[in-house]
Amino acid sequence: MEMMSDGDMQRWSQFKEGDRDAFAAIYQQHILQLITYGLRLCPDRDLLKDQIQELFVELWHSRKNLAPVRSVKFYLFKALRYKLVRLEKNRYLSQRSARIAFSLDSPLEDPVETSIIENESRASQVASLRRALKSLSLRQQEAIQLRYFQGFTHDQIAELMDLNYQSVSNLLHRALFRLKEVFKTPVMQLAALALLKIFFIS
Amino acid sequence: MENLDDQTRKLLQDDHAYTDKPEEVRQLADAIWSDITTRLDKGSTDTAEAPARRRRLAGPVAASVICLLFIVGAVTWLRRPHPASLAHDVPKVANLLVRQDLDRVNQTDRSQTVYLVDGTRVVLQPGSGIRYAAFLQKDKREVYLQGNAFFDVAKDARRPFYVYSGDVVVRVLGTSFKVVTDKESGDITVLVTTGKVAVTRKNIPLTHPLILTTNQIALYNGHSRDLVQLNAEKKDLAPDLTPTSPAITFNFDEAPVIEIFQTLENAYGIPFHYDKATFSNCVLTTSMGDESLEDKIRIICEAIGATYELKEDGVFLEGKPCK
Repeated sequence: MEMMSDGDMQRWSQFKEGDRDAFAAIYQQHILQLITYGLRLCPDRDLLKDQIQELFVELWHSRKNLAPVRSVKFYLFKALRYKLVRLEKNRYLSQRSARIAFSLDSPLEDPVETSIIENESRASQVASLRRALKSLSLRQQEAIQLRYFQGFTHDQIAELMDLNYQSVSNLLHRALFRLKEVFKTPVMQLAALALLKIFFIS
Repeated sequence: MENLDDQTRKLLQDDHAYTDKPEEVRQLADAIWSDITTRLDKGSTDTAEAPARRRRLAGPVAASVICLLFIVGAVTWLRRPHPASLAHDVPKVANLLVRQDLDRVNQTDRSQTVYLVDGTRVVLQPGSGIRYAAFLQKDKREVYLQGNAFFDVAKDARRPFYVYSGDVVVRVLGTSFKVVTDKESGDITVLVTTGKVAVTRKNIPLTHPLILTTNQIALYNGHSRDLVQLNAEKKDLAPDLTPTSPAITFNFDEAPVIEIFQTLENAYGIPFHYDKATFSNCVLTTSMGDESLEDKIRIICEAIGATYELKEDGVFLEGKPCK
């Protein structure tokens, strides 16, 4: 659940009063996640850097006039997305539907070895997951990231992606379904696969 | 809740699931911060920023105390007593002029009236403040509001007047209206007393701004960010529109000119700089109304044979002692 802690709220108030250190702390607290999200929407690094920079500079200059926020992180994400949507140069968001069609049809980069075996290192598990995620549509990837990595609620995701609540649920269900097809994790299947492998190798 | 096993859930929380180069993200973050501080330093009015820091801020509490001290120091320096300032206790409205940006806050627990240089009258509720370009010289008159206030905007057909309060923008030509913000909900209400205003949002403007006339109300919902016109008349909903703070009078009868300067400084928030000794025996009888600040100054200077200059730091006056 993406909400603000007391410490966060205090830092936000201090920032609104002109405390540059609080501002820096807010930046550091959220920037890595913001960039991770931003790259999903705008792979052009230079453009993304510009937009995020502008976002924070504008935030600083208008600090006295900001309406109360329930979640700084959500506010930042929304503001960044809004900025990126407004840019004509942002091909991801303007050619969304074309991209979706393309990525649904495209084959997996690495068609083999998408299952995990218990003694595989976590690093390679995550790498497999990353490859599996790439087989999803960009919107599905965005929804998954927002839900499981960024920790936003369905409502917040709906607002960010400009969808209604039901569409968000549908999107996530389809994404997970597809992900599981591509990246099978349930323990039972693990054991089965492990057995199969042993069986075939020996 | 979606059907997801714990293991996959944990993996989805790993940043490597979204990028194979997490160190790149860190580099981007640092580069962006460096750009931000450069830009803020260029145009900044706060001179106490720390150099761009890495993740862990060393002693953030200590640092913010230092920052605060510096800002307090800067404020004290800017408001340093100049030769002519009269001793008075805590000002009712704190006026801070920094590089042509005027910040005015009502520090009392009653509403206070202030004036803008163009003659606009603003009644600030307790704790509320406005910020604007001190001399309002651009082709738009823009005021940023924090809190609640009543505006009686001076007519100037050539220059529209904008009030920004949170995400709401009110545009007027000559009218009086009130802006109220509910801190908890973030709801903002605009109520028009006389005249006509156009209300829209700053961040995602309405395709058609709401046009409000006498007694009409707009409500901005802090949660949904919807901006709508309410059907009710003011008598049903709104708190009373007529502010009770008395307007400052600009009628002077044999008043020492220094007192007049002080009254103007309080009303307009712009510091007056002059040599007290020079004007100490100047006395004036005059009845001034809603002309602009500059016109008022011109009237006074003509009467006492003084000259004035409007500079970034305020009004500078020079002259000879009166007979």
